[in-house]
Amino acid sequence: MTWWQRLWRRKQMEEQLEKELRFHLDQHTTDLIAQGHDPAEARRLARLAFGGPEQVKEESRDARGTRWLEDLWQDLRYAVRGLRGKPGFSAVSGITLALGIGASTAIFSVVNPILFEALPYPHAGRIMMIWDIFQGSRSDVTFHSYRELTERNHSFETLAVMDPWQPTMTGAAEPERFDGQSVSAGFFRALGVEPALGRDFQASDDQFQGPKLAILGNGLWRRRFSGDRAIIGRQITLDGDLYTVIGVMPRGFENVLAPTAEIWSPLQFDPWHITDLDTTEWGHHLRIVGRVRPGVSKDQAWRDLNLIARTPVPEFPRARWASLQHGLIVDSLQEDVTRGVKPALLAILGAVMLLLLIACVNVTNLLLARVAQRHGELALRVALGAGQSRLIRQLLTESLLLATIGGALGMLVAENAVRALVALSPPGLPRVDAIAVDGAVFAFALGVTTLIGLAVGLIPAPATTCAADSSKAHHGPLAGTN
Amino acid sequence: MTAVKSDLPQGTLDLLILKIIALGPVHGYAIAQRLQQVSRDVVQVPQGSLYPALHRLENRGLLAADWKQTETGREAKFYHLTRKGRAELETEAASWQRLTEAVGLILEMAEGGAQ
Repeated sequence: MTWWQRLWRRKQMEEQLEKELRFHLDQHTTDLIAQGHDPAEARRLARLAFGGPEQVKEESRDARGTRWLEDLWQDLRYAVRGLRGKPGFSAVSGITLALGIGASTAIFSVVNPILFEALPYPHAGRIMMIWDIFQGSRSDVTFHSYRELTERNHSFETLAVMDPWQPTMTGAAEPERFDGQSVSAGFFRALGVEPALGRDFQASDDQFQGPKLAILGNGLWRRRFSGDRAIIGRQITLDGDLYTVIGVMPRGFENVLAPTAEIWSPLQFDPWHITDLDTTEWGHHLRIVGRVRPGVSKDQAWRDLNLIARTPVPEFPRARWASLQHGLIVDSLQEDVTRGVKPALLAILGAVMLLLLIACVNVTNLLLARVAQRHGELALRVALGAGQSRLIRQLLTESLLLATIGGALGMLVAENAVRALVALSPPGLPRVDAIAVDGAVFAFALGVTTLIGLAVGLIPAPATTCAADSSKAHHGPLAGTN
Repeated sequence: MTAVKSDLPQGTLDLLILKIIALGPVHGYAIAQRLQQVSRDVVQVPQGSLYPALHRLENRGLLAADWKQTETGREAKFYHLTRKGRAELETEAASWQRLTEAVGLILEMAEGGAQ
C-alpha cells in the first residue's frame, strides 16, 4: 500500500485498528474466564495487561507514517472552517493577496522574456550588435565599414548587415506590402537559424547585380501561399521585379531585430565602388549583427574591432564620415534589444513588488488582529496539550491556505492583465509575442505565494506564545472561537 | 508471575515478533501469548505495545496481513512474513547471535580472570 492509499483509506484503517485491538481484549478475557476468573475480573485483568488502548492506537497511527498528512488534512479542514466563519476577513485578505500576486505575476510575465530569458537562438549569448559612434552616440554603419570589419576581424564567426525593405507584392491576388529586410548572406547564420524549407542565402547570392531571391517568413507563406511546399523555386513579383523563392523560415522563428519582418532578400551592394563616395555603400544606414567564435568574450571582440578601427590600412580606404576614429560599440544582442526599455521595466517590476509587500503587510495586520481575537481558543488548545510548534503549524496552514486562494485568484488576474498589457504595449517593446503566462511565470507565482504564506503566517506566530503563557489565566471569550 | 522481569533491549521486540511470525501466520493476541509462554514470562511487554511495533513492521514491508477466521469463528488480523521480512529476520538474528556470543565471551573471560 502506498502512503497515498493509506491516507485515502484512513477511515477503513481506523476501523481495522479498532477491530484488531478489540479482538485482542475479547480473546484475552475469554481465556481468563476459562481459567476460572469471573467475567468482570477477567475483563479488568485483560485491560491491565494490555495498557492504555488510546495510547496504543495513537502509537499505531504514528507507525503508519502518514501522521503528518493526517494532521495537515485536519488543520486544512479546520482552516477552511475558520475562513468560512469569517467571510469578511477572508474576502478582504483573499482579494488583497490576489491583486498583489496578480499584478506582480503579470508584470513578471512581461519582464521575464524581455530581460531575463535567453533569446530564442542557439548560444544566444554569442550574438553581438556592433555600432559606429557619431557625435558620442551610437550610429548605424556604412557598407564599407562592414566589409572592412568582415575581412579584418579575428573574433567573429559570422558578421551580417541588414537594412529595412518594404516590397509590394503584385500578381494574382490583391497587392500587399510586406515588412521585410535586405540582408547580407550570413544574416540567418549569425542568428543560428536555418530555413525550414529550401535553403539559406549563400555568399554567391549576395553579389552586386546578382539573382533576385527571397526567403519567406512562415506566417506569410501560410497566409499568402496556403503553406504550399511547392513554393520553393517559384517566382513572385515584388516591386515589379521577379524574385525566386528559395526558402521558408521555421514556424517559431522570432526575429528580435525586426519583429514584423516576414520576407528577406540579399543586400547585393557593390563592394568595389569604394572610391565613389556618392553611393549608398557609404551611407550610415546598416545595422550589423555578428556571432562571435566559441570562447570569445564580448570584451575580446570589442578589443579586436577597436584595434581595426584605430589602424586603417590602404586596402580599405575610408570616407571622412566613416573613419571609425571614435571606435565601435559592441553590445550583446540581448542588451541591445532591451537597452531602451530595461530601466522602465525594472522600475515597474520594483513598484509592483512594493505593492505586493504592502498587500502582505495589510494581510499580516489582519491576521495579527485575528490571533489577538482568538486568544481564548489558542489558550484552550494549549491547555489541552497542544505544543507551540503545533499551534504555529496550524497558523501556517491557515496562512498558506489563504495565500493559495490569493495565488489562484491572482493567476486569473494575471492572465487577464497580461492580455491587457500586451494589447496596450508601446510599439518599441521587444519580444511582445513571447509574453505569456508560462511555466516560469507559474513558478514565480507559486514561489511568491508560498513565501507570502510563510511570512504572513510566521509573523503572528510569536503572538501565540502569549496564548501559551496565559493559558493558566482563564480570561478571554471562548465564544470567539468559531 | 515470576519475580524476575527484564526490560527488552532496544530493537529486540521487532526481532522477537519476526521470529514468532516466521513460524506461521498468526494474530496479534497469539503473538503476545507466545512471547510470554516461550520466554517463560521473563519478557514482559505491555501487550498493547505489540501493535505499534506490528504496524511499523507492516509499514516497512516486512510483514503482510490479511483478515481470516480463527478456530472460534471470529475474524482476526493474521500476520505473515514477506520475503523482505524473512531476509531481515535472518540478518537480524545473525547479528544478535554474534552480539550475544561476544558479550558471553567477555563475561566468561572476566570470571576466569577472577578465579
